[in-house]
Amino acid sequence: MNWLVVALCSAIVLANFGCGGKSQPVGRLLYDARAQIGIAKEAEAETLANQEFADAEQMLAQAEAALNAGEDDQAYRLGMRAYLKARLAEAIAIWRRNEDSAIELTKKLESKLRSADAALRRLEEAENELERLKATPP
Amino acid sequence: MHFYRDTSVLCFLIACIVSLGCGGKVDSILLETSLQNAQSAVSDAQRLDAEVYAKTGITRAMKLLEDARSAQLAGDGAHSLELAYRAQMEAKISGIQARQSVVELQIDQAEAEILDAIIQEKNYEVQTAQTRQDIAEEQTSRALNRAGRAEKQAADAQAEAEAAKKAAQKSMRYHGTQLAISEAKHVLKFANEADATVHAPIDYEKAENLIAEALASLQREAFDEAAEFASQAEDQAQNARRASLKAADAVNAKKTQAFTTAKLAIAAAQAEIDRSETVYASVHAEDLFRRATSTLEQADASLIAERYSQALQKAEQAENLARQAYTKAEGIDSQRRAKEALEEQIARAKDAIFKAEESIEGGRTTDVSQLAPEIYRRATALLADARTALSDENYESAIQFAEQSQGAITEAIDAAKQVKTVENRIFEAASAISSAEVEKSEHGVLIRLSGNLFNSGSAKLNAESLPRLKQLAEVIKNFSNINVRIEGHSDSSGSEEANLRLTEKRAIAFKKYLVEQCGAPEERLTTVGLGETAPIVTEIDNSSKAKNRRIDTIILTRQ
Repeated sequence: MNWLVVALCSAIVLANFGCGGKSQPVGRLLYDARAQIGIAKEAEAETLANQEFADAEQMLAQAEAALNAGEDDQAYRLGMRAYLKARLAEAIAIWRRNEDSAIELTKKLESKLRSADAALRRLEEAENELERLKATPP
Repeated sequence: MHFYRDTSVLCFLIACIVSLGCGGKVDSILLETSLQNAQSAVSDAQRLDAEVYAKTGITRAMKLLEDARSAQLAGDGAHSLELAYRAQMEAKISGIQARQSVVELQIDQAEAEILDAIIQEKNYEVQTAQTRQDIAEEQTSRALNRAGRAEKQAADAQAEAEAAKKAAQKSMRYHGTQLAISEAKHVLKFANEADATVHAPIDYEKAENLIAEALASLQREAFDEAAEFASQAEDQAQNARRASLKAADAVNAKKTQAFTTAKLAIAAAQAEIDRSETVYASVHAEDLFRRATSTLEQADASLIAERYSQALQKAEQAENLARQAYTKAEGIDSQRRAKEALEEQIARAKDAIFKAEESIEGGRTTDVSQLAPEIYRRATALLADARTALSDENYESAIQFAEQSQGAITEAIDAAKQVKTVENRIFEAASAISSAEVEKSEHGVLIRLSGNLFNSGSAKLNAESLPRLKQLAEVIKNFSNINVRIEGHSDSSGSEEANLRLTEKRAIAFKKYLVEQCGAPEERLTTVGLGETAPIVTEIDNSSKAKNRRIDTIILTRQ
């Protein structure tokens, strides 16, 4: 009989592990998800990836609600999704910001190329002028 | 064996618990969709080179997807679904990260290119600056060359200018001296024109010699010496000229006096000729006048020729001739004027008489002669006097009488107008008298009262007629400055003498009533009895006789 009790307890533990490989406690996961939302916010995801950011916040809230309701599994799943959404939001925000920077730099490059071209023309004019001067008798 | 059997049961039990612990059954379609979405996300990430730029992420995604499929195969739907979602999200993140990396590479590349462009631009600018410097150096070099040449040209020009200045100074001195000599020559010329060769020959000769010496010095380019000679020559020539002018002045003074005398004489002669012309000497003393003008012309010619004494003599002759012409012409002209004056006077007299005649004729044809007969008669008498004076060749009197006659006629016309106005007023006033006939007569306005004014054969007024007399008296009083004549008339019944006496008495009685009973002014009223001598109708019956028995009261407006 004692063996049976031990076997049941082991089964419960295994079952817990079998439900998605919860490698960290729910509280820790929600903490990470919250931190990731903060990082995404610093990356201006609220503006640049507002949908993903909003989803992350909403999922985190649901996860916390589930945790408070004692639904740890649900809390875990939602916490994981909130975390991933926050990462996605951060990545999108960084990508879009970089893309804007790339566009700006492209414009700047075009401007610099024009400037260089103008400088080249001025150089050519000066060289022509020098040639004409030299060709003119003193 | 029992143990193994028990163990198998236990494992099954555990699997059931695990399965139950994972939340129960999952919709297979939902699961398959999630797996496909995860696979699609992984594929997208791979296309974006996530295996290069986000290797960890894509590897994790692929591992999660693999685990998800394993879980599916193991029948753990819920776990598989969870893993599929995580795989999908990881794949998406990897894709975005790959994109990020690509963009970062682009940024790096762009920054590098920008840097290259800046460096290139700077290189161009440096090269341009260098070229500009080369240009400037070339230009400077050329400018220096030009400056050198210009400096040399300037030095040459300065040398030329110095030489030119010296030449100019020499030329100036030469021309200045030449000018001084020319001035001396001019003064000498003026002296010559002033007859210096006659009046100051020594000074003139000295000046000539000095000019010759000055010219000789100028030829040798001894300018100071030449200028000195020229100055002396000019002084000498001036002296000669002054002396000559002084001598000439004395001669000219005499000439001027003679000229003035001759000119005055000519003017006097001209004035005398002009005076003679006022009496038509050119007509009445033609010969003398012609000789005078001719002699005056000769005098003028002599004056122009500067033969002043001859001019004076001719002018005096001309004046004398002109005076004679005046005397002769004046006599003839005065006769002519007297004749003309007489003719004019005769004409004036005739004209005045003619005008007076016209006026009198006008007065006669109109009623002026009747309305103002006295004045008209006076005018006629004056006209007769004028005619008599004209026939007696007393023209002045004739004009006077004729003009007086005209004046009288004018006066008569004015008087006639006044009389006419007064008569009209009287006529109007008298028309208001009952049963009175009013008419204009030779002497004024006649107011006739006829019928039985008096008792038969008596000079006593009938009481019925008295109101009419009162009305008549009012008319007379209204025109208080006009005399009135009361004429008594009878019919032809009875003897003439008796009728005459009766009409006289009746006229007096009539007047007496007007004066005493009605206040008429007695001094203006006169009476006359005319008997049966002036009937107004032929007596054929008692009615016509009654008309002839009457009192005519005449307001004498025309006296």
